[in-house]
Amino acid sequence: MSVFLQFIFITVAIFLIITMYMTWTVEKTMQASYWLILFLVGISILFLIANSEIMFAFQLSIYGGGISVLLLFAALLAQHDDYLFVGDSIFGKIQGLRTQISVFLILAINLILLPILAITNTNYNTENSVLGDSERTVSEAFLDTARFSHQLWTEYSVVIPFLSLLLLTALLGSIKLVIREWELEELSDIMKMRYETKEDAK
Amino acid sequence: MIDATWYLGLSGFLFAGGLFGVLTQKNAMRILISVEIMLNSANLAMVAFNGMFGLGIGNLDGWIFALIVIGVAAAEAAIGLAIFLSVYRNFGEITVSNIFTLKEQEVAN
Amino acid sequence: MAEESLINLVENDTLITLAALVIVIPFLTGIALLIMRAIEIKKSIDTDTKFKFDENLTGNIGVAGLGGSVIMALIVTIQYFSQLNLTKENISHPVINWVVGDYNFLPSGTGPFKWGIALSPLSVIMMLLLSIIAFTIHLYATEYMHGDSAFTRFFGTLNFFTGSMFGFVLSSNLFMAFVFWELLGFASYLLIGYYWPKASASSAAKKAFLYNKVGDVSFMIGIALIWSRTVNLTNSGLITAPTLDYYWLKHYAQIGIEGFDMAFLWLPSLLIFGGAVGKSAQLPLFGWLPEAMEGPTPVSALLHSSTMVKAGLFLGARIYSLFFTIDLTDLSIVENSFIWFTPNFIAWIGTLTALAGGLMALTADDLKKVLAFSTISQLGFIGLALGAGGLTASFFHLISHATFKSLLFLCAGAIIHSIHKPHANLSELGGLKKHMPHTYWTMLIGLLGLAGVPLMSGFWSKDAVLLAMEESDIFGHQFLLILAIITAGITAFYSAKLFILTFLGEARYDKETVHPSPAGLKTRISLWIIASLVIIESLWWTFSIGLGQFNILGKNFEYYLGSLLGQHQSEFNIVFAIPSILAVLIGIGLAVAIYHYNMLEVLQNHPVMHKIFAIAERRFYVDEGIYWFASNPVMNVGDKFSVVDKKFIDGIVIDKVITQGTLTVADTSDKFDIKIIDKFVNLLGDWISFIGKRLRKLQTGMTPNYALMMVIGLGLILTYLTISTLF
Repeated sequence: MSVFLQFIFITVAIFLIITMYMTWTVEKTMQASYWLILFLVGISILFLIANSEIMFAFQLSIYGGGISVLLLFAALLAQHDDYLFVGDSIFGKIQGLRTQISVFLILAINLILLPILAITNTNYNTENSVLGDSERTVSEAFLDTARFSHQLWTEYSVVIPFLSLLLLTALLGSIKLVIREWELEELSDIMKMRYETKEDAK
Repeated sequence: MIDATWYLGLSGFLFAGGLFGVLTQKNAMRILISVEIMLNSANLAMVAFNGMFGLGIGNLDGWIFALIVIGVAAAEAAIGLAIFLSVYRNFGEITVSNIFTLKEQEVAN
Repeated sequence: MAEESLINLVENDTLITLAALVIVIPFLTGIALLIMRAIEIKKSIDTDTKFKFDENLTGNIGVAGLGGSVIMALIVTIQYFSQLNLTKENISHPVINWVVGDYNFLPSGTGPFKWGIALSPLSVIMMLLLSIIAFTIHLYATEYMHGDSAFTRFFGTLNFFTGSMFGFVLSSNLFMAFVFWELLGFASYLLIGYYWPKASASSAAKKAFLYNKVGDVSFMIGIALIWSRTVNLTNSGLITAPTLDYYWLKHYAQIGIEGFDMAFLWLPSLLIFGGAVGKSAQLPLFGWLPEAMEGPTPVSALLHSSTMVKAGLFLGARIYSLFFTIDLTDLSIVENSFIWFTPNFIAWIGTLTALAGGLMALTADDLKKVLAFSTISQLGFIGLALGAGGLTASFFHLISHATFKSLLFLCAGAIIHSIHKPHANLSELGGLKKHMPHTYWTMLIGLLGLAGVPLMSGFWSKDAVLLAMEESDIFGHQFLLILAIITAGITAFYSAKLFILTFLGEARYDKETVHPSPAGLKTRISLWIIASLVIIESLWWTFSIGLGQFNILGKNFEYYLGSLLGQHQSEFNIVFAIPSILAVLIGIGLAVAIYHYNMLEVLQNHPVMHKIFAIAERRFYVDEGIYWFASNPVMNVGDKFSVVDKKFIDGIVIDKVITQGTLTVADTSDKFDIKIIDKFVNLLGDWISFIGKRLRKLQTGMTPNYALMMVIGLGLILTYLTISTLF
């Protein structure tokens, strides 16, 4: 069954790359966040293959359920359309990005191939360096989850409260940043123009 | 049986992609999305490492780290979006290449 | 007539400390008084008045300093003589203890610089005599200098001088002696030039200093020769260490180390005696002593009759062994070297000085000048005895002359004080007997001693000198003896003349303006102290030498002195003394006849006498010869040098070119410097600003650019890490 898993893996990988490309190139920001959700789901599938059900659940719920919704709403609030690739032909699409692509290529080679080379040349304990055990039992899965939560609340018992504190701070901070009580006169000039044009258009 | 190095390779590729997005996008939202892509690729790598080193001895540090990263990403996204909203209110646009008021001033020599 | 006694070196810290106190106390009081003088001057300037410390205070400080020295000297003398173990048995060849205390103030071997005190009979007796005379003169001076505005300075300098004199007498080596010798010369300069606003006084001080300096140069060369020879001998292992100690030089000279024998020593001893020629006013360097009478009379009494002028001859007595180690009768040694030269030189110079001094004293009119020439003459006697080999005789005459000459000067001072004039000219005195009785009697006593009237102290000492000359092996000593006897006659003559013209007869001074007053109380006390010293000496020596009573250890005074100093000569012989007694009586008789009774006009007006007197009046042209020598050859050489110097100055003008050159070099290098540095600094600044301008463009304010830079940096770090892990 491992072949099946490998097949799934490759499919999901391609899927991820496609979704990633789409987030760059779609017209609207909202659409980009949709494609991000798909990306997140793909990542969660990979987690599932790697025998961490709990991460699969966390990824879907927190990332896909929370953060992407946040991004969606924020994108709605700040609607401003722009395009990445402008032009009809392929050459036109690449034209404005020459230097950027070259930089990307350098970084890609660096970040992908060389670390892999480094890691593969190191003598790891390869007995357990295999993910995707297809003969996994449910009890094993639950045991992993239990172990995960046990470790979370014993070894990392200090970290979780700090993380919650961090999230609380972020919440409060973002509220403070965003909140305003404004009158029409206090708006910036550009906003005034926008609101005035809309009202004028009415 | 998937070799853990495939995960690592994919993680690296996705990270590079996210990096590309961060560097080239003009819309601040899309930049944030690309940052999320990068963080996810990092999570992938953590899970892969856990599989390489930890599963045999029942050590699930990689998953825990990935969980913490998710939490941090959430906080960061919230703050970032709040900042983007403020910037949008002040400048009327969210295109990062147009916002350069912190530019180095020209010096009369 | 070589030295015979053995010397034993002894250490005694108490004695040395007391002797050091004798030197130090007058120095301390002298310096204290000079500091007080400085305070006086400062206060006078500040308050614009003539501030002066109370004369009683300063005078008492000065006298007390000397009083302390006298007490210490007495203690030292008593203790020293009590530890000399001379008995009747060993009186003819005694072993004399010398108490020596040394202090090297540099690491040994770096030079002859030692301080040390050597107590030997010579120095102890001299110290005692000096302290008593100096104390008396200080007492006298408190009254003599009364009312003088620089009273404090006088006593400060006089104490300083006395301290130096003690230091010189008690010094144990030639270096320390030389240092104090120079201090003596300096103090003498200060004291002669005491009335320095007067042109004659300041020039007299200069003359004295310069004449002394000529002697000092020869002294220094002598010391250098001896020192270098001792260094050579140390290097060749013959002696243990180079030295300038009197004791060790005596010792080495006596035991006759090869290289330190008479064949070598004639030159250094001659040169050292050259110093004595300058300091003790021998021919030809005597010209300063008459001039030195410009100083106040206590100065003349202390310095220029009894202490400083004796210093040179005292030095000669100290290094007597360097003149006389062997018998000059051993002709084989004599013929092969210059050994005979130094004693002959000293004796001839001494005799000629005595004769010249006597003749010059005949022609002088100023009372003090007569006494000055007389001092020159008597110093010639002492030198003559030293050269003839009579150490005992010369020291004997030194002691007796010191006492009566200082007495005579004190009397002269009293006379000058009483007639209230700066100079007492013989032609303007006369008939002072009834006005100044004490001075009359004390001066009589002094003059009797000076003349050498039989039974006075001067007679015995002069006779010893003549006996020394008679027994010596000096070339032509009989001729010198005759000259000495003639000089004794002349001495008697001018002493009597002085006495008659001053005290007897009719008054020749202007009775309207001059009212002679008797001497004050302190003056009289001082006069009688020294006069009583003369009387005691006369009586003692008369009884001891003449009559054979009051023998010390079975021998008379002269023999005892000879044992102490280590040199004996024949006993007094009345037959031998007859020519000198005759000369004295003839001299006194002639003087009485000419000056009291105005007889023998023919003698006075004889053309030969006139000629002699004329030459004597010009001081035998010695001074003029010195002046001529100093002005013509010396000045010519000086002029030539000054021309060279001017060439140098011109050379300096040329040097000015050089200096201009250096200036230009400095200038150009300065400009060069500035240009280079400016250029360099500007270049550096330009580069930095250029780079800055370029780098500034990186800060676009656009966030993606910053993100790109971050990523590039990250990529580079990762590249480095991976590559380093791979290889």
